[in-house]
Amino acid sequence: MEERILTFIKRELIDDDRIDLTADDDLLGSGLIGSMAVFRLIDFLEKSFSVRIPPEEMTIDHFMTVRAMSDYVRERQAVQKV
Amino acid sequence: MSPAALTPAQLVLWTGQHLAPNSPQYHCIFTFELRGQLDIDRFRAAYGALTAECDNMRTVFRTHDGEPRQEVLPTALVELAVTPWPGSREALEGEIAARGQELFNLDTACVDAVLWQLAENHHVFFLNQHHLIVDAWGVSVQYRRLVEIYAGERGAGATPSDQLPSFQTYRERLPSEPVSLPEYWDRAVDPVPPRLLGRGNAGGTSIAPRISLTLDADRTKALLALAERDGIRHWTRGMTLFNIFGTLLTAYVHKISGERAIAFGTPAGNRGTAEERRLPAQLIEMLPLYGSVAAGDTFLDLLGRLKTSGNDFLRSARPGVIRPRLSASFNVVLNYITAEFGALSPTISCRTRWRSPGHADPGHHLRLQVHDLDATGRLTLEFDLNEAVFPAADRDKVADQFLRLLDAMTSHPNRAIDNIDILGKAERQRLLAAGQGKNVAERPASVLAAFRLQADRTPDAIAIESPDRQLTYRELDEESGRLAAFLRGRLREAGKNVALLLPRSADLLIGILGCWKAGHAYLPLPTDSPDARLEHILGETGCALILTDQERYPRVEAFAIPTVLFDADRPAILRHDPTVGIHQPGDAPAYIMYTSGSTGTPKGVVVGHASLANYIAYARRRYVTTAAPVFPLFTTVGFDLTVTSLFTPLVCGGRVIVYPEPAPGTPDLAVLRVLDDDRCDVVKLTPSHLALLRGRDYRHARISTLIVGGEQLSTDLAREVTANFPVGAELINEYGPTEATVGCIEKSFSPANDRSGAVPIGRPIDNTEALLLDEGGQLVPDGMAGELYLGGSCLAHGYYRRPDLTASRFVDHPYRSDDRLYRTGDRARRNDRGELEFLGRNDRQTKWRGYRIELEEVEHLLAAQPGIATAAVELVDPTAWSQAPVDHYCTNCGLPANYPSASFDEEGVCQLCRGFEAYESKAKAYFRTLDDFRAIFAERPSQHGTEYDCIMLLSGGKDSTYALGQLVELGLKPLAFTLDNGYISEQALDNVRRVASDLGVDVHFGSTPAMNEIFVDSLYRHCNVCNGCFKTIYTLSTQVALEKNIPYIVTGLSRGQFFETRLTEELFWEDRHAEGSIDAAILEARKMYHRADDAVRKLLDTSAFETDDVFERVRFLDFYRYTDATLDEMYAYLDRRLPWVRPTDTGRSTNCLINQVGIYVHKKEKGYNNYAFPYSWDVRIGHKQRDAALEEINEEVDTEAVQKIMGEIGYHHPGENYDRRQLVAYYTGGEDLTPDALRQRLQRHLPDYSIPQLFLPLQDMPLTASGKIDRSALAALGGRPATENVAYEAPDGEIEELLANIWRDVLHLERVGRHDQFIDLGGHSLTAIRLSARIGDAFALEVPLHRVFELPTIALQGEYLEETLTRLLAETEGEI
Repeated sequence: MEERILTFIKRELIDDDRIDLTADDDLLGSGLIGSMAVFRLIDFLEKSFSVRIPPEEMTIDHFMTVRAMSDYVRERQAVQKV
Repeated sequence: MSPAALTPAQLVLWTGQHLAPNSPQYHCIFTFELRGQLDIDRFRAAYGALTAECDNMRTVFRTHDGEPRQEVLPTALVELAVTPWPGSREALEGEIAARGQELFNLDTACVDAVLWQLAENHHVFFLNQHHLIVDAWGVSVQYRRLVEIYAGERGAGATPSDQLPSFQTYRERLPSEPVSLPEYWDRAVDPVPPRLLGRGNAGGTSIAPRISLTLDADRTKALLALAERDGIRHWTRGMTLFNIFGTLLTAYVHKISGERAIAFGTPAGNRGTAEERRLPAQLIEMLPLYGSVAAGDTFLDLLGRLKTSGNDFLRSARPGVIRPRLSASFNVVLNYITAEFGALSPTISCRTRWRSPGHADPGHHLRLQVHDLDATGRLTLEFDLNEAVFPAADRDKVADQFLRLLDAMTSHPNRAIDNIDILGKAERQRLLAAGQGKNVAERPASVLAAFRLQADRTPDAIAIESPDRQLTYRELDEESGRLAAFLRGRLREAGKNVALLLPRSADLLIGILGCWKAGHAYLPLPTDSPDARLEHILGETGCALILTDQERYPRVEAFAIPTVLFDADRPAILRHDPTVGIHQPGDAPAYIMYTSGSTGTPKGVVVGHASLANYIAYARRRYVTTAAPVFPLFTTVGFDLTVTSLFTPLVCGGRVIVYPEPAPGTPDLAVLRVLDDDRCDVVKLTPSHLALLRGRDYRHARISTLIVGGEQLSTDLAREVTANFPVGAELINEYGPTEATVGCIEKSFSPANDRSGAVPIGRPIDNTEALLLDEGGQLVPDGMAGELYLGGSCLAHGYYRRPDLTASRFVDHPYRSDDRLYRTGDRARRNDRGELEFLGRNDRQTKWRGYRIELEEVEHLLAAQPGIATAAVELVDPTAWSQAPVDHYCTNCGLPANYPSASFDEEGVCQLCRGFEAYESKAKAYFRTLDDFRAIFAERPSQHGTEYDCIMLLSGGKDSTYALGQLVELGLKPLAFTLDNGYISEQALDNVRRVASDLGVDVHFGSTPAMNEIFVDSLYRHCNVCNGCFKTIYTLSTQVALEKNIPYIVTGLSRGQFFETRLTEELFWEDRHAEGSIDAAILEARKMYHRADDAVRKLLDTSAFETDDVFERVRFLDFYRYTDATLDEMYAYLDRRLPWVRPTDTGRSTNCLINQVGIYVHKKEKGYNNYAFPYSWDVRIGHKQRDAALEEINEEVDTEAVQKIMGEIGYHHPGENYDRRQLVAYYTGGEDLTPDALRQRLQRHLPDYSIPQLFLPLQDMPLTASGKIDRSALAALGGRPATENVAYEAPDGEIEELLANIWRDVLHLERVGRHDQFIDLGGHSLTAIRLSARIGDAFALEVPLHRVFELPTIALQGEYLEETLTRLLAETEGEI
């Protein structure tokens, strides 16, 4: 999951395949991606991993890093299965 | 490039500019102040290269056939002018402002640029572009590219990837279809744009001065610290600050409007991709972001909700979402600009400024821009404030007030917003002072003391005069003294309550003064009080004594309270000494006055001597202009309005003239006698009294002052009446609840100032206070509506024996301990002249489906229409009326009385039966015989390749089964078509199978997975399931017919159903060769039916119906048009010939289980069974028995089964929480005005949600005993479903016909009614443009675009065109 998200960020959001990005890099604090990009990312996560992300859970804790994102998405997947 | 259409975002701006052609409101003006060694040639070349790269800077806008198009010119339009600026730097500011306002010719250029050279090292680059081609981010893209080119990097000869992307190429990739509205904005209920400072309308002006401030270092630091806090910090710092400023703006708008649901517009950037971020173009769409302020909310609460709402907003935003309805739903804008600019080169610094053109969109009353263009670390706030909404004095306060909120939020984000004072100390002091009446120390201790002083001064003057006797001051003083002495014999202790049950008379006044002298309070009981009221009051107050007379004694006898009879006990009273031991009242209670109150339980208001003395002293100073004034006593003593006339004359040597009460049950017209006798100087009365004086001539009367109290006084009435009174006579409007002693706010009516609506109530009287507070108990800014609180000497002690009620209404003064304020429950505002305006009761302002409706505002507007005598507007539940038991069914056909617009004659027969009698014989001509039916098939035999003669629509019920049998008997070969809708009864299906096999007929079972969705749609749309089901049957069977090449579809519709659905009375009016034209009309109706936009059209393949061809290839035949078989004949045939069994499993004669869901919903929503109407037709034409019909339509449905099916198909019946109420206007007069005419008149002033759905003319307005409108009686009248009077009305006259053609064309509609609303029909700016152009062409007239929006119906446009044409014609004739 982390790899797919990283690829999406590099190709679609940053438009630079060569950039060195890890799952623990702070994407928001560093200004790597802006707020509009976050919503494209959310669309990507919803479609790719079959989750629904409610607006009240679109918080910085869940999206600061790729690892935080994938943890959150797994959590959502588990919740939705119940 | 060939001309291209505008993007939706551009179209909004183009329309806005078109509506205000002379306003520079969309100019994006930037100045870049450059310091350093600038290479001018290089800069000029860089600018040239930029314009070559940016196709937008070369774009122009031209109209083609009335529609705007954009095209890109091949070369740069203008070279950058470089001009020396010899003047001062300050003078340049003036030049910038002036140049920025110069209007563009959009068809030649949308850019204006100049480089001013102030000194060798000092330049100002001015760049003004129309918003159509660029937004703020786009300008920053242009600037940064300019910097690159100037530096020679990727400049001239740059590779395409270095160049800026082309907007036109991007635009071509945008979806050309309108984008569907995301759920976030697709709400039935939008918040209403707030009235900022009480002002709801900019009156069309776009002038909006800008107030700028840059936050200082401390504030910036505090703000950034707040932005770092957990729970506040969001995606980016920009996003966090946006949320903080959104919170502040929402709180601020709440503070200056009182609204709690608040939306502000904010740009959706639409720059999600890297390409979009580099587009030097206009991409933003201003869309509403929804927020709210609940009571007790803190900043953090607000921010939390806004964050979620903002996520939803950004998630949903995409190009093309914008539409006029959304643009009109807010009037406040937050523009948080993240674009940055910076230095031109390492050696050339730049100061970037975004300049205001001094104008803004007139729909934007308040805009807040936040930016830090040059990344200085300090934020600049810029407020653009519409001049009509924020006049200069209010404008100056905005920045300070906003900063107060900002400081409160940064220091205490957990503080409740309601408790924050944004006004500041100076403004608070000013408002408190404005609410304070004059301080007058000198006043009598009591009215009694003042009277006795007067009695010493003028003992022989007449104090009171009644038809039977008159008393001088000395006599009144003596007689009341004797009564007091007598009362002391009965009541040992002072401080009791004495009830007075006496008519208007001299005795009444003796009684009051006697009570006071003995140290008691009086409690007036009007002689016409109902027994229940007497019982309540006497029971609650424990009156020590009742003072009455022999005539009225029987009414109080039963209460076992000591009673004094004024007439019978007179000899004993007169034996007492008038001078001994007169009580000094101090501030003891003077009277207890009972008021009804909105809750219905009367409550006693206890008024003390000091309050009464203050009022009477003021009344004497203010209202009395002559010596020894004469006042009439002609109103009820149970109403504190009368207090003015009772006591004011007695403290200044004047006289009371008593006008006795009329006999019980006759109207009290004493006011006419008072004026006709012409003996009084000052008359205190109600507006209802005043209305009685309309049209009478009192211009030479003695009267000098009219004081009006008790109800709202309209300026119309005031103007009309003052014209009939002597010049110089004063009309005073006085306001005051009983709890604030008669009157505590007043003003003299001024015909010059008080021009519309209600007369303001004015200013507080001496020693009293009137404050306007918001729901949080804070003073409201001037102009804004607030609740009126009263204080000072006017206050009553409280409610008699109701400490809880007293504590809730008499509250602590928010700014002065020890003082109290009375909370009136009235809404008011202070106008520009400092006068208070009464806006209505708090409880008359209601919320309805999210909208705030001022019932009184609607009432006033309605009452102001010509010819309307009285008007009342109420929210009532119309279904309550229709749910009431039905008291009548047509004696002929059984139509129930709650069928919309049913009316019955004296024999109890409905108008439908009576109408049918008139055209029945003509209607008969429509019906045929079986021979005719046979002939049709003979004339047009089946085509080759077809094995069937026709399709028979077979439901399994008796009608269609009988028809199928007959078709076979006629020798035809039908294909049976049965829809399996999932709920058809098993027995019906068995019948279908059995009968078909018995007859040797093939059956085609149709079905669709969309069936449930179609049911749900039908329930919402028609409150039944049958409409959806029928349409599905027609659609699917037509597909089968087309597929199998079958030329006919035969229906089993009953004759009753013909009349129900298509044979309208109008078809038989003319003696045209009925058949041909009726069939043509029915065919037309059928075409429309299939093309109507509903679930069937959406979910099934209906493409076949798009062309008329299908109606030629497949024809419909109604079997029962050709036979008149009776019910008995049908059953006899079915029993004898076919294996058909009557269904029992549906519990009724129908063969479908879901049917009862339709009946249930229809009854709930409309009150009557949806079969009531078709059955009435069956009965009317003799195909059903009235009793059987009544039994069926009154059968109970099985609620449990209904709920279960609703769950299965996914229909949610609007539950108990659904607000079923409708706004109903009741009125008298206005016979010349139809409800539609009234609706249109109100539409000019009110938003749609405030327009009553129903207008009910009344013979008389029900009134209460005190002459006010009886609202409970109106609620009992109820209303009727609103659909009744919004019916289609055909265009009227040549002009309207012509208009209707244009509307139909432009809106792609089959039919347009003369009162249909443009927007409701799907009209938007582009269609409005086309409409205005087309109308202009057709009538050879210029029709401005805004007229289309102002006159949104064919009827209104027709009226306008007719007037204009007539005027033009008259002018032309004049010239000749």
